[in-house]
Amino acid sequence: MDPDYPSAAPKTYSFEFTASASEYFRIWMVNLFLTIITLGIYAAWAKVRTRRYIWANTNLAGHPFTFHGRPAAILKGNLIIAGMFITYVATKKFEPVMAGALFVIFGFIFPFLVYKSLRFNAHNTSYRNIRFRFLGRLRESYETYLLFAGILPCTLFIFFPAWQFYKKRFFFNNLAFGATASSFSGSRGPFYRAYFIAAITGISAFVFFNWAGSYWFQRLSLSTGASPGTVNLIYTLFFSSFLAAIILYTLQAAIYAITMNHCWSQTRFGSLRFRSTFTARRLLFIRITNIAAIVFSLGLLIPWAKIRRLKYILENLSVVSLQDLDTFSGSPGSDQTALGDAATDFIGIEIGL
Amino acid sequence: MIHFAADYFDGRTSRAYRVRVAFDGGAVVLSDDMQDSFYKVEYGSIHIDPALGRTKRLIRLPNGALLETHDHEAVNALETATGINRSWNWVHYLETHRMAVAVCTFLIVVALFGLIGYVIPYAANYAARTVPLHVTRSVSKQALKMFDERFLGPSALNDERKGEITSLFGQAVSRIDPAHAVNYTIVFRRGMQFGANAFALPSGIVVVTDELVALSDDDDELAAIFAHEISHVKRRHALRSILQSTGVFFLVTLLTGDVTSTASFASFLPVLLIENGYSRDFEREADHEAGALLIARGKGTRPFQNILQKIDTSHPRTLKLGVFSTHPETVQRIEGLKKLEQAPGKQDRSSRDHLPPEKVICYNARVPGQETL
Repeated sequence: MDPDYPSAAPKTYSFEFTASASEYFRIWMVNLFLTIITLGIYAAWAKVRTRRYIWANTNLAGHPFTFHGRPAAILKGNLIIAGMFITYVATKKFEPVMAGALFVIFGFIFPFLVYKSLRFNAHNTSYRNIRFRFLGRLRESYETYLLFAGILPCTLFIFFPAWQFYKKRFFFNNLAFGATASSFSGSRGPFYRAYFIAAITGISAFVFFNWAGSYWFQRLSLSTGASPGTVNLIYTLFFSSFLAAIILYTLQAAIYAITMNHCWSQTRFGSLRFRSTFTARRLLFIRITNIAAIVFSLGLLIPWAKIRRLKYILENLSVVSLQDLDTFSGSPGSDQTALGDAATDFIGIEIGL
Repeated sequence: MIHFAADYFDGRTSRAYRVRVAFDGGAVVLSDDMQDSFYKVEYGSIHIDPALGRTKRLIRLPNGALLETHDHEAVNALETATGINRSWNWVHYLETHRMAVAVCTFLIVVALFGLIGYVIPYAANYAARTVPLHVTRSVSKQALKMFDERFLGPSALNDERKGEITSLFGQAVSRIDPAHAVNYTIVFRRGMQFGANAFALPSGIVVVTDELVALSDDDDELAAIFAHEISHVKRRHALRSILQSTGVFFLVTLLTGDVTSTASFASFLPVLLIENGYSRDFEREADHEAGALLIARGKGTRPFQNILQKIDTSHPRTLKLGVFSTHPETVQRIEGLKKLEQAPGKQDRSSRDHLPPEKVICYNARVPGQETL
């Protein structure tokens, strides 16, 4: 119990996601059209529009979140990523020996980009006109994304779950909503548990399907007399891609559910905490049906799939607070104008973390 | 006068205040529950976030405060009256009209066909010509080294036979790409599991296997194969295929938003089909040039057809993959050569540098920068 509010009962507020697939489809289509005819330049404006739409439809206690990112910043980020990509492709194709060196250089740039990306996203998000901030230090980003990543192979990847934990801690432990900084009390245990379960399940599934597959392969080639080439092709395509994907998605869903439930439950903003109820089964179901929908609709259901996944994630997340949501204060020094924080607006980069 | 209700957030705390907003043509005035106006600002210094779907409209005030409202009509009227966001509302117009969205969808499909079928191949062709051939030397050497280590063995041909074939190769070079003859070299290897085959590396190294030499009945057949490989190098097919793949990757990234999403996973198959289509176009171009050379020398395309057929029979386990293949099927290639012979007017087409790519679309495990037979 927070000593400041001894008598208050905690209130639960659920996130509510009001985006509609048909509305988002139209925004997405117009974005695609303008992006293609401008050969990619409009992608930055498209991203801002998409984000604004998603944020504006994410409601908590009746009020939406707001995205303030500016297209020019995202354009700069896109140009940096495109430049790195082109350099990498050119080097790999013409001087493959140098590609390794380039990889190391990118390894040194990457933590900086992660840091910039986290800052950009947090500082450009507000709720009830109070901006979020990301207070993580560049030093911690380099420790997490360069040092720890670098020593991973030396530990034979036993350290991998811990590394995943440090990445999440870097994010959840360094946020602030206005003047209220977050604190994160998560531990490595659930990460080790999640990856251990995933490893055991993955290995047994692989062994089982390999055995079942070769058995089925033998029966089929004996009974139908089909040429070994054709059967071989079906076998390879079916087992190596399709089943591998399903197994991989299952493991990813399990890892996501276990680790994210843990991370949210261990994050506090003052007396405000979170509750999340993700289940691996539901995440997996959504993922597989989404892929099927995208494939069979030739991509037209991409917006629907995206909204559906986000809706599940957001509506399984709620806030439990002793403090009323309208009593948070803005950070005293931060710039509240429409211009935003120039330093964080410099480059906007999206990195899937 | 424009009136509407809104939530007012001062930016210092997260508290929402219900306010009335009024606009009289010059100033925006906010008043509280008691009808007391507490804030007044010239409309020129406010900022309205452009409309987006049915999401709440946001008005940013110069004191750092924010107004949130569901009253779309009133805010639209305010925008019209003040001229704010005039340059942005056309995007909202497109997004809110089904017909406009349908037109966009149609134009996207047209644009994709245009980009994949014409713009990317032409741009790659143009760009490939500005890259000097020697930049591909180190990658070609490495590719050959890798082939030698993993797949190929030393040639068992005697020096005399090698000499004959080398001069045959030299003739083919001088007929197809005389201006850059110095770049070309022929290399002899034993094909092992590659069997009868020949392939060109982008810098001009053409590898020919003993098995292929043994399979050929006369020099014209070998000359046809050489012409095909030299044509790959001359037309910069390896480099163009790298550039085209990069273009397709870029396009997919634009379409799916990022590289890690579900949507980009699902785009794996179309990308494969497009790239193999490009590869088959290149094979057709090279066949065309080789065929035209044979015709010009009065030999007809017969020798080329024969050797293609023999190579096909010598690889009995090759699967017919259709659109999943990097090469057109042998039957189609032979058919193409026959047509070329029947229509002599088309001969000069092959000597043009910019062949319009024909639409076909596919895969095998390719070594970067290598063009096989």
